[in-house]
Amino acid sequence: MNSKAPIFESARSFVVFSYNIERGLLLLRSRKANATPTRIDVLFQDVRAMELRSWFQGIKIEESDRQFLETARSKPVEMIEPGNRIYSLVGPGWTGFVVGGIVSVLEDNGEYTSPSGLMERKRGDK
Amino acid sequence: MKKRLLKHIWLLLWLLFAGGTLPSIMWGYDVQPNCLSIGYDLCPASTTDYDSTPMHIRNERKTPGSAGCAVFGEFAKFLAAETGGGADIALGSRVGGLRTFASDIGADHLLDVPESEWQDVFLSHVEDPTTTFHVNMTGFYGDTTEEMILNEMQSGSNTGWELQQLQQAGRLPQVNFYQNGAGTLLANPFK
Repeated sequence: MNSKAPIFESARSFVVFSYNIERGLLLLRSRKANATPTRIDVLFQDVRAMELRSWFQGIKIEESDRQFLETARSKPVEMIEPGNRIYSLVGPGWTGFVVGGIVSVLEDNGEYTSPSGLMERKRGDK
Repeated sequence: MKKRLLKHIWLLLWLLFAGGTLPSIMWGYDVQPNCLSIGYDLCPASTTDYDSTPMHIRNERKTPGSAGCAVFGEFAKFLAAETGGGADIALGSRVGGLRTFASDIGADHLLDVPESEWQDVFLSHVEDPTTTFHVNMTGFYGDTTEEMILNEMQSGSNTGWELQQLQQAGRLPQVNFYQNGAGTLLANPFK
């Protein structure tokens, strides 16, 4: 089913924090807690199809293939364009997917609702 | 694309006849085996700086690293000048099929540039006179090409922002505008 090593794996609690249609940004976020005093952001770009829970405990993200999507009733394969990637999202007792572009992960000390460092424009050296 | 093919032939010839005369330490691709597979990316920014002039290689702004890369950088500039073209960048709405459009015309797009960097990467291309921009107007509205472009600029979309930058830089007259994906190349109303 999955052909590559996990891109990201965590036992922490996450929420679907935001989705922005312009560049298809899907942000999953794990907030700071006593036991885990950091924030983790997982940002998928160019997302055009997805199936996942709005919040969950524990996640493993792997890159997968078209075959993985064949049984999905929303027919996400039809949304794939050149260069798109298929990700499987596996939690305890459930499996979902994201079809999109690249995925990035950032762990920092940010607050729950403050902007993600993955989405703030880095000023170049010009 | 003819220009792209010509560049690759030039690159191959140069690697065969000139590259072999340089010490391997001047290159870096011996420890970066994937560099050749992504076009001209022979100069990883992680290596020691020699020539600090930034280059634009596909979608990415690169800083040439070693002495060999400096030589390569000059060669790349020579190629760009000789063949009359640098990067080809496709713009437009992803909902309108930007990836497919880019693939159809043999251009790159910025959808896979990290979110925190794409605007600066785009502006680098705007500053680079060898970059050619191609706009897929699928999803724009208006009665004429000009009206569609001007409306998109006011829409608040990322494509609108990109078009504004091109306008401010005086680059709109050189942009290629398409309708129906890559199907129809339109006359440029800003020329």
